Amino acid sequence: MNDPLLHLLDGLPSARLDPDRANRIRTRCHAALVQHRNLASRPARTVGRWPPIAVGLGGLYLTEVLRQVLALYGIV
Amino acid sequence: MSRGGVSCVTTPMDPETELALVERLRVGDEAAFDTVYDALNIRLFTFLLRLTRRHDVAEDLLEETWLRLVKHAHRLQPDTRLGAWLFTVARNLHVSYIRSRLIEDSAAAGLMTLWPFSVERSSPFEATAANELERRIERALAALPPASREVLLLVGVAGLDHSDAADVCGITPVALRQRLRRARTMLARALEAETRAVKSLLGEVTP
Repeated sequence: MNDPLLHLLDGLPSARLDPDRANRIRTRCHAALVQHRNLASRPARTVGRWPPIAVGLGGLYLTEVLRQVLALYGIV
Repeated sequence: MSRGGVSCVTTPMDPETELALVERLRVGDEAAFDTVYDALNIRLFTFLLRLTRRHDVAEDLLEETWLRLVKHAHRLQPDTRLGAWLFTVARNLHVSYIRSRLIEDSAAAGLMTLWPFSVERSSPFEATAANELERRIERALAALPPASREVLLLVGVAGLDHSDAADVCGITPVALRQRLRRARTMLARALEAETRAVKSLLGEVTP
């Protein structure tokens, strides 16, 4: 740093963080890392199977509703 | 406050080490987190404290910055510059804080006009400055507009290179250099004004 003014800034003191607070932050971050790691290592769930089943059931339901409406008007 | 400037509080990270740390952070390695935390925590806190001038706010923003890192660790790009990334988050959190304060302050403005005392607070650094020169620099820094103060803190105090500092501020390196030049001039003028004021005061009290 050749600039004397920036050199002055470089010499300014650093802040001192309360050690308890620093440790608390570290602990929280470790806990969050462990949580993310556990989530990532969990085997793939069967969520992927549910959407087709839900779509099928929804389709059946709508078909039944349509059939009831048509029956109501005496069409079928 | 600890003495001696940036060099004693940072652990230099060469590019290979940084790449390896990013890779380990992406898989949630706590030891890698500790290395980054030990290297950058004080620099980040010093930056935030000089921006906010409040210990409690700086600590809260610091905690949120680190939590953002662990939350996004698995999505980090392999070539992420950790220092620039963390300072960017810290800066953005400060901007959000200032915005929320502006909204609160505008709501409270009517009440504050009834308050008979000045609410201007001195910087925590100012209160513990070791000598008059440091105190004057802290006062001059604190009086600068936020954008100017920010670039001086990033380049002059935190020791970021121009490219990283530009990334943090969301501007081009050319714009960063221009902003830094203007900020530097403003700081020099503010320091000169302080010196003149001290001299004229001394002239008044010296027989």
